[in-house]
Amino acid sequence: MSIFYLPDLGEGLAEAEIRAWHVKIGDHVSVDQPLLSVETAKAVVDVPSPTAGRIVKLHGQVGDAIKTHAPLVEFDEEDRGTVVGRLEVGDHVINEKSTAASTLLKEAEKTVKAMPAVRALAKQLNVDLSHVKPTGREGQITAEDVKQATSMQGEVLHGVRLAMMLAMEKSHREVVPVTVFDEADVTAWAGADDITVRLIQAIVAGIKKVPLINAWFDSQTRKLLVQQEIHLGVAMDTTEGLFVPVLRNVEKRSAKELREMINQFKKSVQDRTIAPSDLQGATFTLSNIGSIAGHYSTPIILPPMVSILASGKWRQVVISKGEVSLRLPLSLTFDHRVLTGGEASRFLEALIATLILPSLPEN
Amino acid sequence: MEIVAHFEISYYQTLNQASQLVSDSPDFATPDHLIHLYRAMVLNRVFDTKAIALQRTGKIGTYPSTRGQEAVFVGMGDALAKEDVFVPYYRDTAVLLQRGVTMAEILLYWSGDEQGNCFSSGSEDLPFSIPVGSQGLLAAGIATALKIKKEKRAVLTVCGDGATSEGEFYEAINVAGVWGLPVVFVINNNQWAISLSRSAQTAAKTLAQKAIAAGFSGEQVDGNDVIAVRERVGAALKKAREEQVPTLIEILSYRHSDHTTADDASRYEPTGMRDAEWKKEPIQRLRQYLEGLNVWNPSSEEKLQEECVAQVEEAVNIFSSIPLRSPETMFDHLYETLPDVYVKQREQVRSDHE
Repeated sequence: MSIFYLPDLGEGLAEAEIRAWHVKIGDHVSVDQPLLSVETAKAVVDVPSPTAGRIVKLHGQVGDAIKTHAPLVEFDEEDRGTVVGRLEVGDHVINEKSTAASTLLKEAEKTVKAMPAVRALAKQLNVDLSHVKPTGREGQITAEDVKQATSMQGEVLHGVRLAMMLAMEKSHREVVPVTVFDEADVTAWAGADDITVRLIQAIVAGIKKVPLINAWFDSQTRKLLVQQEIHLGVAMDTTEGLFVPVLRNVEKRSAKELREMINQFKKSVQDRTIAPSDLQGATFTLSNIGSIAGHYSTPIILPPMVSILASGKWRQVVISKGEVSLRLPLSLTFDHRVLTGGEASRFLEALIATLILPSLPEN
Repeated sequence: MEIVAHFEISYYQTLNQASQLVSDSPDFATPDHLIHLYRAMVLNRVFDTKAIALQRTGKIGTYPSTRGQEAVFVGMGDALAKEDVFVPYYRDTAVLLQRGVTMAEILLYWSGDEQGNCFSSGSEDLPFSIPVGSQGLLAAGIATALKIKKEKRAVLTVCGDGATSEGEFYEAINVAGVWGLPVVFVINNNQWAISLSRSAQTAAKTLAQKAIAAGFSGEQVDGNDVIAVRERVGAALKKAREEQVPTLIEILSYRHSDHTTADDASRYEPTGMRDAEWKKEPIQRLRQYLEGLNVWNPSSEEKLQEECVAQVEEAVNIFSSIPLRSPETMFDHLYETLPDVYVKQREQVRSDHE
């Protein structure tokens, strides 16, 4: 067994994005046979096989960014023989790193200052420089800092959890959040409705009232772009961390379609087959924490979005003897750099007005 | 008004695109010798293809391909006399191979191991020099030394079309002209200076005419015609050795590759241009001529391909068996005695990588 690590395909490139695989698991390849096409910051190139053998593992899917010197392909070199007849193989591609994680990693790396010798040392000691506290001149990481870092206990975050950490840090750096709390009286539902779908329909109604809620803001250029379509990110919890698949054009979907899309994403998140493109391009986020516990929260906006809604666990409120009202707690965070409190409140008002209806007519 | 000076630039071609002789075949061009040149070109291309694969699999670093320019370098290498001095730039694999440098050494160099520049050829040729435009002045300096020592040797140097816009290029040809130096300047005009096209490089009609400003003659040669390249570079070297007269030769070729493996020509090269140029490609041109002479056939071709692949494979094996050197050895090839300041740095690098 041998592992082929992604080489530096240019001059000091940090990563390459997979454009196409030309082989699959189980294939027998010869030396210099093209394995895949990748795109670096400089070029799209074909990467040939360094060895002859049978492919046992492909690291990454089309669209994934692979870091230079990270594992790319694993070969069984014992198995070089010519195969006659059909070989039963799986072509399931193992995705060990989400695109979101690698894109954010790239950002984090930009801020690392270290001399080449220190980088080489970090590589040798398997220390991630983006997590080393610099003590050198002008924020430089010294060899001593790297050695110090190895003495610290604990596991370095990776994968989905690392992506979450980086996304949250970015939000904390950039956004000025204000959270408004309220609740919707949904007694009229009689507990039978699909909460998530009802919430989505209410969000659409709210956005129609205040379109600015559904916008992207770029801190650097200070450009605000109101989105004409509503692509809703729905936060989904997994053991590995947070996934936010994006339901496209929710403003055009029927309740049935919405439910089907949600179920599909639940499944693809669960078995990790979700395409990186399904995790990108959200214009508004819904976080439904209420299925577990907790009434209110202060949800965190993911830039370039400017708002996010969290719904909490049902609350039963006794309004008079023998009469109970069912309340759905709502927490709306908006970015006060670009939205006013009035705009946020009017959105919430329209959202609640839609939510309290006994049912919505199908259109 | 009276005309005080008059100049012209000649273009030389022996074998045209249709593999026909368009001028007298020079004396050296016996079938045996042409087969020798042909083999060198094919070996160059096989090596080139392998080198790119080695870069793509992380075995060597950035590598500049010579694909489609084999005649330029094979012709130059063949024209050099053993005692001449060659000052390469970075696309000169085929010249160096003919000078006795091994393929393993060339691979070592491109893998970042300075030992690769310690040529086993026993010549006084300089190592590769990447900095664009730096080669001409080195060649002029060596030619000056040869002249002072009254040695009947010539210096041959080469640069790309892009280098001709550099100040050093003009300084070099100027001093060669005014001092009467035994040096031949070759410009491999492959039409691209990384992404800058020849037409965007200079308004001058030819690059060869730059020699006129320096007071000696310049000419153009078809770079897809190995016979013409060999003949014209040979004649210029003879003139340099015997008459101490420099020459500038602009060899017209086409870069059938990215600038280096770190480049992507598809981002700037007009579509279709490379395919159109490929019709002039030098290997097929000579092969067709040899077949016309009945000294080459498909079975000799097949045998040659196999030999070249085996030869390159053996070189790759030798290269792969050479152990990676530790980082501090990068200090070891610059000074006879390492200055104190570097002794400390060398030690620091060594201890950091223990």
